[in-house]
Amino acid sequence: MVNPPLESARPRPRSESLTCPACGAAIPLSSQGWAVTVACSSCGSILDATDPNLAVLQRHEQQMRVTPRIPLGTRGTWHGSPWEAIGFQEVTITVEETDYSWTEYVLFNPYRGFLYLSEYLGHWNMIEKLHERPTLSTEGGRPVATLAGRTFKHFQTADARTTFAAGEFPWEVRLGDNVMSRDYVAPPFMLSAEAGEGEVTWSLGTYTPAEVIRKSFGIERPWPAPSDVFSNQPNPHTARSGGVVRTCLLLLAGLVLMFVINISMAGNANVFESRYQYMRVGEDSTAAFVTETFALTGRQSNVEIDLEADVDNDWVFFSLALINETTGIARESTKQVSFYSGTDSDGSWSEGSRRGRLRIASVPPGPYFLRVAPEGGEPDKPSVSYTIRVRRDVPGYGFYALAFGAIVLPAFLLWIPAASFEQRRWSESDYAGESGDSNEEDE
Amino acid sequence: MTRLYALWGAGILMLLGVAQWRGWSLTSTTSGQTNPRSVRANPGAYRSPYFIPGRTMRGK
Repeated sequence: MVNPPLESARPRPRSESLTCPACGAAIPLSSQGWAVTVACSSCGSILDATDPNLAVLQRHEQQMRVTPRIPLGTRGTWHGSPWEAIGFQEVTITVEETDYSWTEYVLFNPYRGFLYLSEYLGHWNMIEKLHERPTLSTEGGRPVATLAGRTFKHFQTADARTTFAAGEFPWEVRLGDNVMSRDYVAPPFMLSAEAGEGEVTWSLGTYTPAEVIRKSFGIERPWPAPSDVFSNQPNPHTARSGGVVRTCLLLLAGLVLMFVINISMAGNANVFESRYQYMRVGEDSTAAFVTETFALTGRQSNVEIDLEADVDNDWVFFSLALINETTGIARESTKQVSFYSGTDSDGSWSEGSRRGRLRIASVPPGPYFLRVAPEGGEPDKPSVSYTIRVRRDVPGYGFYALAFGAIVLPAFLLWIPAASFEQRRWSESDYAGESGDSNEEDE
Repeated sequence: MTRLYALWGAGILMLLGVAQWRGWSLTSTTSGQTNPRSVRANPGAYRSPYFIPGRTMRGK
């Protein structure tokens, strides 16, 4: 909120006339002499409020073509103090030959000074003039302004001109006056620098819901709902998505930790290994055999059976049963090992692998043996040598991939609305189409 | 929402821990009861659930 104007630094009330010298319409003066210019609500002429005769500074003949949502003269309460709307102007910028206009209100309290309101498409900002200059720098190649430890990112620079004015203003307002307006945002705040005629005025806007403004000024008629996303509108999804993203990172750190622990603690013990030869004697059962007994120790864990066969343009199909010597429980699985290679017009090629691997889950400790039945293969290959290797408590990675997806996917889905909101915000900026601001709203 | 997500993630990590500790696998095997002595005595007579009489397998 701005400080009250200094008594000695401000002109005494000097306006004696309360009628517009241009059109004769009555002009209510509420600012008790603190206004510098007055815009006649009837004809739009700009009058010198410091002149006893309200000298015409700029003559216009206009109808009241913009109706303020807060009628001039309306009094409201803001932060416990009464404020009166005494001035209203429409400001327009032109971007790519398209005009964008917003409205600004001058609020006055004889003990507190001036406050300002702005409205664009239903988005309201309560604005106060700053008495300190923010620090300007660049960050990531983009201009930023820093005020009270908060960093504001440059949003837009445009030539703004007054296209309509009514009421009293504490500055010399002129229709058509141009200022260079530079906006920096850190939702829900916005820093604006207006440069014109050798001076730069900084102001700080705070995004304020329309309903709050409307109730503060006792406006009963409902206002249209805000449309689109405003430059310093708080992202309603940020708090949720920010917390989810932080939680996601923590969970992923936990996942990595579990992975490391799993790798370091897994037994991965080689409990059986032997080499055999499969003689193809026809498709009978004579190739089937059982291995010697081996012990699976430790807690209930997995077992991995590795097959390595010397197949060359050949294949072997293995039926394997891991049988508990004591309980008779058999865990069965199959694996085909095939490897083919050759050359053709495209060069050499190969497909398949001489190695096969199958995993048996949750095998209790105990004495076990394998029943192995190799079969099949190319008829012109009389025999195949192969190795069977059994390993106990082998670290598995498939579950980690599933867990990663289960952790990241919900976070991603929850992050999308926040990112979409930011994308819509920055699509209206000077940086539309550039990446890097989609999720960088300060929380 | 964040709390719900944290619970979800913690549940996932716990499930993962149990899966690793108990040796779960993404692949399945068929389990059945047999007589180890009988299998040892005549491995060729043992018929696994995958046995399909008269099937023709091709490697390529």
